[in-house]
Amino acid sequence: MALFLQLGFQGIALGMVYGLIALGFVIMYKGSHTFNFAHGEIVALGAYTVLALMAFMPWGLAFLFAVVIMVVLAVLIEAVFLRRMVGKSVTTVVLATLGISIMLHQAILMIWGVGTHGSAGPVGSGTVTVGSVVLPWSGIATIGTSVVVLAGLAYFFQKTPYGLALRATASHQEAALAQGIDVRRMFALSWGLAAFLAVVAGVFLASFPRVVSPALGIVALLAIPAIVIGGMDSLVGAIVGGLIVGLIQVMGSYYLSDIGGGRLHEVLPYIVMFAVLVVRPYGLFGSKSIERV
Amino acid sequence: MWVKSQSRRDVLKMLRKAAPALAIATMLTLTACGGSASGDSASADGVKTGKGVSDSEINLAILTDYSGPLAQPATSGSIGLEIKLDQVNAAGGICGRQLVLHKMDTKYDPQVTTQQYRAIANKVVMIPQLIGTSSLMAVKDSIAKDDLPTFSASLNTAALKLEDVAIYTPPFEVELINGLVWAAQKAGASATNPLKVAVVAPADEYGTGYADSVKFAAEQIPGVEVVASPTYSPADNDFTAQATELKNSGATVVILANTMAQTAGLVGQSAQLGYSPQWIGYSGAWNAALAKPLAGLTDNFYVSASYGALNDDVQGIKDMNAALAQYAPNEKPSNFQVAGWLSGTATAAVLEKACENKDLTREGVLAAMQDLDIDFGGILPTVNLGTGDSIVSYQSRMNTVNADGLLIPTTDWAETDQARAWGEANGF
Repeated sequence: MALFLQLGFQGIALGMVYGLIALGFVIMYKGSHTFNFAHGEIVALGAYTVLALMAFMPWGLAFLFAVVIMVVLAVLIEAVFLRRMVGKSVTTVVLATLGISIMLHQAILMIWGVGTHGSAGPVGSGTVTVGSVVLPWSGIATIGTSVVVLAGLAYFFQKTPYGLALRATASHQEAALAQGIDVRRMFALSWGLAAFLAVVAGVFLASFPRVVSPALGIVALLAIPAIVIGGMDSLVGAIVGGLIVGLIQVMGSYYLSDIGGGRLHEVLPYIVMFAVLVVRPYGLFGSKSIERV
Repeated sequence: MWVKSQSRRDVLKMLRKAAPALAIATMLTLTACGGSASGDSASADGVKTGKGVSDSEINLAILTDYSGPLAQPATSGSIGLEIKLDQVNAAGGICGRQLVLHKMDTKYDPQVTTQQYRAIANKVVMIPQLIGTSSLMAVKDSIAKDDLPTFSASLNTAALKLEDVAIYTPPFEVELINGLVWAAQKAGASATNPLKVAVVAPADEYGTGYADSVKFAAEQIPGVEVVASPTYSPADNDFTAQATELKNSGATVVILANTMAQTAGLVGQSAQLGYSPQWIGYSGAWNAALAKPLAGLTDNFYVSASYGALNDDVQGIKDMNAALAQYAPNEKPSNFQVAGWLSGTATAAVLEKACENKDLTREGVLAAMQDLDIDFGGILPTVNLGTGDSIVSYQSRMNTVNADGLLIPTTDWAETDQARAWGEANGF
């Protein structure tokens, strides 16, 4: 039982990180109808920025400055590259985001090189033991921070004018325009929010014992099964999907270690993703859309 | 007249349709014929030359990971090779020819490796470094078909079984076995003083080979028992499962057959779970960059390596450091540069021999590799390449790591009976 709880805790911590990344994807998709393949590299860049700033200031300040930098970068990317593609085909937009992803990855390599660096998380290797379950502080911080961020986002979307405007834009752009909502500002807001989530996810993805490395961008793309499982347009689904993927990975690496040469847990999130696509193509919490042809 | 025009139009139409196909066929034919050095010939100095060799150049290729998961150690290895070749060129080159290195990024991906191999194979006489066992396996048939002499930078015995491929140091399996034997001796393991050991390896056929080599050696040592052998996949971001299995097994020695990408997770999460065994990694499991994230956790961490370290007081390292200062002064020192330097040293030795034999064709280079003694200036004991399908040496030594992550030797070079027994049992 202790082992199950131990693995479960780690799975939830990892799943929350995937959930935050997935949430960023979903907010951008809902807000600007763009599936942004560069989001993984924005996560990586967020972690690198925090780590670089940590050399000059305490972690808290480094995190805040990194959020500002990444939000500005994301808004610029949206304004300069993606807004010009409004009305273009989905393929064109997707290819554009792939191109941006490659550019960001190369920028990381040019600035910081190919090597690994330190950890970017707010806490180190300390742990607290509850019964016979060891809870790393990095995991506690991940879960605690994620809950606070999610609560903040829920309040933002439910109670604030900008949040309501963003929801209206996500629901129906033309109607939102008709109501006087500045849709372009909403696009920028969705990207800015996603960038904030990317920095949060990035620092916890690179928390002890994980380190900041160029591979973070690819790791972040493990959130894609989470999005599909949860539903491309569901905020709750993004989190639930992330938790499912995190738990599958961690629990599976132990309980399924004798199956599939010890690599079944690696593909299981994608198997679950395909199963969900077959049974509920719009995801567990996504909305079924009907188009009039 | 109308009929004639119609025929001419038909002919022109037919030619227009056929032109692209003809152009492609012509290009393919020219490509198949190869570049400028398509056949063997004798140069003005009487040296037989072939593909990749002209009167002024000897063309070599490195196929390594410059932007994938092993970019950090692979790039360091490339630098080690480059500075060695720079040093050779500064001294006049080989056979009066400058060594030209073509750098090809494989991204540690077998498919990309295949593309890169095809792009360069016709232009070079030798591949001094090819990294990645999977990548090597993807092009092994092409290497054999092309008779392209290749040094594998993935130092495992899978490479030894391949035609025209050799490794110039003891393989990883020897490092792992020697590390286990050292740990057993240090612990005083015996039938009355048993030692529980675990081995962590990747969940693939090569990992199975590493784990099997450790298990083979354990059976040879009284009192040593392998009680756990968790595996991992390269996509794993969390090692709670592996750390828990290790802790629950009661192993007091853990042999790490993983790459450096997993070492921080395994050691770090084990420490978080309150599990601190003696860690023994092979040379691929450690990188100086790990010193920072694992600060305070490496007191009981050892590296079993078959080649020397950056601060060894031997001529080879002095030469390497001098070359590094001259040709790559901005590069941070890394032990993987030593590995690259070794590949450059081995390559230079092979080409020198081929030059002496007046044969710089691929066949000549392959012949030069046979039974060649290579002196690495003390970085590791002199090796003999044999026939290319045997283990060149069974010697390794143990190292600790200092606060900067650099390897500090704690033993002399030594080989073990268990490693030899394993080699013989596997036909090497």
